[in-house]
Amino acid sequence: MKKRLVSILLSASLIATAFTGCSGGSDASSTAASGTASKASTGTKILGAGIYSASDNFNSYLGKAITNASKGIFQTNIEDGQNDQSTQNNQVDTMLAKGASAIALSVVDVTAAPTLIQKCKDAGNVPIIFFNKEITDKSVLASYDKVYQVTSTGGDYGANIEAQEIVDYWKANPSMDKNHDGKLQIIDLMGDPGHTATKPRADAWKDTLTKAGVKYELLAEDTGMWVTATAKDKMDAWISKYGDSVECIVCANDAMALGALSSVEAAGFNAQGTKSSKYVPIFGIDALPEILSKIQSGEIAGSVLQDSKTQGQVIAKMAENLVNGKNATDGLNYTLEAGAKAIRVPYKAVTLKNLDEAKAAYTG
Amino acid sequence: MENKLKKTSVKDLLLEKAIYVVLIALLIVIVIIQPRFLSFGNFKNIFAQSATRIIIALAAGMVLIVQGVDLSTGRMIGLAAVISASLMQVTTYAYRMYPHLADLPIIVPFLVVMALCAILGGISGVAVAVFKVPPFIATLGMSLILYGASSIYFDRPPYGAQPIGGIKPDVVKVATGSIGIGSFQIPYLILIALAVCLIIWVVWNKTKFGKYMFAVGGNPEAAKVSGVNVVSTQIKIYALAGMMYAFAAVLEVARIGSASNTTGNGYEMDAVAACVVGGVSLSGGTGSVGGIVIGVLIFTVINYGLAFIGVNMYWQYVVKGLIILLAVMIDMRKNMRKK
Repeated sequence: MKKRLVSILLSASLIATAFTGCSGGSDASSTAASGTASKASTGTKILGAGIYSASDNFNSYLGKAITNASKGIFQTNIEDGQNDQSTQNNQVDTMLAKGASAIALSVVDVTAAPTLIQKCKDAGNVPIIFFNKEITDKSVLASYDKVYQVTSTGGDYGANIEAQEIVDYWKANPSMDKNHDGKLQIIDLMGDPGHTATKPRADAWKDTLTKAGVKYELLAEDTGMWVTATAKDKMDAWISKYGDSVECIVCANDAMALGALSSVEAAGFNAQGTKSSKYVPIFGIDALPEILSKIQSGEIAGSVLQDSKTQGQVIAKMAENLVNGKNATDGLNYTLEAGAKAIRVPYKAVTLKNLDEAKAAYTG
Repeated sequence: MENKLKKTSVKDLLLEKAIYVVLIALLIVIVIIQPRFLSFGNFKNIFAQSATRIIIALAAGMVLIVQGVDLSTGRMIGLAAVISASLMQVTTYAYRMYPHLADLPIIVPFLVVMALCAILGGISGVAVAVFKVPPFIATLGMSLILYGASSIYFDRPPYGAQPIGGIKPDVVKVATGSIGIGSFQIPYLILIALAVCLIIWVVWNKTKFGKYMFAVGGNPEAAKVSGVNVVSTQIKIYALAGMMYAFAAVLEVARIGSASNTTGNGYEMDAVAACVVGGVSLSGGTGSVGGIVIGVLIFTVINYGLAFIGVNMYWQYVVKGLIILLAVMIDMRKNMRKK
């Protein structure tokens, strides 16, 4: 028995040291923790906020933006829906039971919106704001006067802007057409097939290219599951198969663009930026900090910034308006798109020309 | 009569080496569909992509051999990946996690995460061996703790939930560099994996610890009676597995060039599947280094080969599932015959 006690204590102390070891080096994490603690004690109104999955880094970033923008207005804690709608429903129940005055959610499954709206109605007409994943069924939005959306521009999830970067690059750099056949030989790395943005992104860039009169040939198109490692593994096979005949790599997000980059660099491409002896332009979406430095070095040709900071501010302000019975857009420099009941915070193209603008999104 | 004998022995041989037959058949099919697959570069890629997975599968295999199963594999790799990545960023990188951290020698992140994960693995081992928690539950709990911990570590100011990038070139070189042997370039990763296989083979087959491991896995009661310290063997296995995950995680970071809290997600199932296809019994006691290596290679060949051919992504899942089922069914027939 004694032996057991000793081992319990030992393992407990091991855990303790392991974790203080992890966070000991950073003041940042400890201030973040105490920040949430002090917020909880101020007794302001509650904004029940949730993201569909913390595995989606951009969603975590949105969550953080909402938390930052809510300071002094709401107390909030971002819930992780773990990519499971039933988990998220339970979380919303808890938020409402805790007395949340407003709900802000990126839903796991957009078709679950009616259920979530009903929960808010039942809890005494609590306003609900959907963000990131857009509810496209207009009748669902019309069914409740206190449902609104905050998303990015259009149903293309930024892919039109990504494609415009490709079109511009194509026009400015005739050398992009390595085999001089007047067509762009493209590899497309798509997102997780279960994600709402995957198909729209894959369709939109093709559409934009066609409309701009750029002919292209799809060498390979497959999912990289949004993940760097998966994208790299697939690109290893393609770059070995197609080598120099690849003229452009389109990635549905930056994480996959990083994977594609490390794969082509291993095959002798891009390591010296545009001055590399073998170069293939790679485009992504998200404008991750890592990608910004790769754009600076020329290893990546372009990305698209989805402005999480502004989205977070808009969500917090809108929630405040709705809770106080004001118009959803009061004090906001955005207009509401009627049917979708959405404020759209536009995507921004990010290339070497406007890197500073993108970098600003990560300061403060 | 003689003829018949010969025939059955060929059949036996085929069954005995079913896994190799599956691998070769797979390669032949891919080459028939896409002859260009047959190149040194492709095989180099397949071995390089398998390298870290082999290390991970060997570690997970050890746990399977002592009648355990490790569900924390992927998340432990994730934790080791984000911690090591944060210690291996270029000092001039604009988005460093520790802006004032000195330029550490490459050995430091290896040692830090290997020590940490050995302890964490050891804790799972203590739960299983001392407190008799079913391994499935012990490692499930550990996996949740690890995912939470790595997310806390990863998602914090100033840059928050962004992949930790800007990995030092000398680290990246470990994974992408290669050594020239004649006209061939052999990636360091393959050599590292080979070295690990060799060490693990010696540990499993030539040391007392290895004999204890198989004894405990085969029959813990009998092992105990014959004087094997079952508890300490199990704890050591989990700790060693943790250490190997961490080692593989640093290599993964070097290979991918960044790490996030999703790094390693799902690796536990890949590892277990590779082990089982490679002949490790889920009820413990059996398994070989060679089998596990072939198991991993089969999966990488499927992944790489199907992408190379250009098979539709949904069909890739179907094909992968069918091959797993087929491989294990053939392999099981061999066991049934023995009985």
